[in-house]
Amino acid sequence: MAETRRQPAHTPARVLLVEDTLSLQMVYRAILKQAGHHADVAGTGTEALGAIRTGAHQVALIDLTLPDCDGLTLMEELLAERPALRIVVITANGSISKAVEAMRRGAHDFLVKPVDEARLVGAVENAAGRTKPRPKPVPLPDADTGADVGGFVGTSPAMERVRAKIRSVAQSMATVFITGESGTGKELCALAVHRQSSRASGPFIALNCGAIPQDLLESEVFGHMKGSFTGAISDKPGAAAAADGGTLFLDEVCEMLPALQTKLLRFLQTSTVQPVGATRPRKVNVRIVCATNRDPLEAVRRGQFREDLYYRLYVVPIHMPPLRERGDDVIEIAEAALAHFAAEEGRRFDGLSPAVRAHFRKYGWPGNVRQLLNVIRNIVVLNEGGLVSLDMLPDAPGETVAAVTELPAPADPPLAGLTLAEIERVAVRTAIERHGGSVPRAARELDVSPSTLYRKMEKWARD
Amino acid sequence: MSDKPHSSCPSGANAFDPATLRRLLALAGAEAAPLLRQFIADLRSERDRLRAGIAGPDIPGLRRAAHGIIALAGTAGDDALAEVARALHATTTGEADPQSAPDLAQRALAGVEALMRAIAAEGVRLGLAGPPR
Repeated sequence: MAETRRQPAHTPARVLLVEDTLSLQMVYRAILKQAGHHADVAGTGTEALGAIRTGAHQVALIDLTLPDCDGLTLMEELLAERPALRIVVITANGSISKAVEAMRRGAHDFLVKPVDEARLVGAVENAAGRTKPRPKPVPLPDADTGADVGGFVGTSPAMERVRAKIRSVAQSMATVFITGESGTGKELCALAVHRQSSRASGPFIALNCGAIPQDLLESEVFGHMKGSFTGAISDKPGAAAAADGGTLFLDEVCEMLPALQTKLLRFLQTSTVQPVGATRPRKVNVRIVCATNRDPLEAVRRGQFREDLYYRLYVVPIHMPPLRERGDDVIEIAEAALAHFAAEEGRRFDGLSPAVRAHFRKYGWPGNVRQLLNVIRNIVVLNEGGLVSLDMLPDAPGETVAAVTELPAPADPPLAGLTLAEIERVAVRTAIERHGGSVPRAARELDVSPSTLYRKMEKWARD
Repeated sequence: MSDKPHSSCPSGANAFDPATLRRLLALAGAEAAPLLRQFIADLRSERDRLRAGIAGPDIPGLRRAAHGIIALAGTAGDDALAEVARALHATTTGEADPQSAPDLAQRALAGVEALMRAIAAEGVRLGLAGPPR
């Protein structure tokens, strides 16, 4: 049989392939060889550890189910031995949650069996590309530089956790899913992930899926060719192609219609884009960061968001805390914004009075940082300067504070005092008890899939 | 040589598509014949594991067999068998009703044996192996 070998898109990679099923080992090796890469094979964890010590591998492909050890444990041991190694895990369909866990622990990507040829080569080449010398990370536009008021200003524990998560995830290719209320700084968080990554010199393309009419969204994301539909008067590359070599930020991703969700999933699986009206797909190298102000799992439960897409995207979640949970950050942000806007307007303010500080700490800030910035800008524009006092504040916040303080406490005694997460645990536990321990029957009652309950139970057991 | 897919699985869904296997054998080049033999050997191992799992019954054994069959059948081009194996795997992890496990295991067993025969026959057609036994 004739053998053709194509030119690799990257420098040939040296790959350690850890797979115990020999025929699959042969298939994966043949695919990689045809793509111009070299694969050494190992059938067990022990063999893999031996091979990694003797070879200059850039990428390891690991089957998560091995005869002598757990694939996750092997991954950690390989990373301990060779921290620069990029790991791509391979799993059967039934263990997607394990693959997600692998991504959280440092895997670069994951593949689902049976492995698609293009996806295998794409994953290895993406991973191998990451081992090139990295550009120096660009500093965050946060409180350290004062360059971006209201963004990452603040030293509360909640924001320190966000910063630590960003630092740990930025260098990975893992997809980041940012959740949080409107105005909490989700786009700034996405930008921070981009700027701390090896892609910092590449483009950062942000697209608000909720702000673009759904019938235009496909061409906004994937582009179109001239004449492909009425109004397509020229070729348009689309956000995914424009982000090649960088990061694509999809805000309000849960607002995407199901048809486009399918295309996004395909894009994530193949790393190719096919503009509307184009005859051929084009390969791109894009990291996805997405965000929503909704509960994404609830959107899955309601059938509004594809479950498989959810697991593809929800690899590393980052939750942006609401301003009301950030303690004295509100004062730090307000003072930074006051100085910034005062400089812009050519005015001189002497800070916040103690009464204003107390008021800001007490207020609920339903619009979060965005609302606080609007309040400060309002003060700067409408006042000449001096110490900011209560009478300088616009009306709305004071009125809302009054409304918030009059809200009645939750009245249901059994659930009073519990967090939402604790209430969920109670609901699941009682449903399972009510059905004599049957998870599938409890799942039917709760209108979720049994796998959802098993995942939750696994997580609670770990916690 | 017929390109028509033939059924390797009693489910009757998407049958074994020899084009997928041929593509892999072409990729393997000089290793095509060893790859063909190895596919059959790996399927035989999973068949034996499946038989042992059914006889037990041994749920972890069935789970391991289903896991292996998902990958082997899907890679070789038998989507229907991979689907049956996925359903069987789900019964062993609590994601699906375990009462359907015996039926699914029997269907997977028949599917694996049919796929082994189909791959062997494909080897004969391509001149990579002797007639199937």
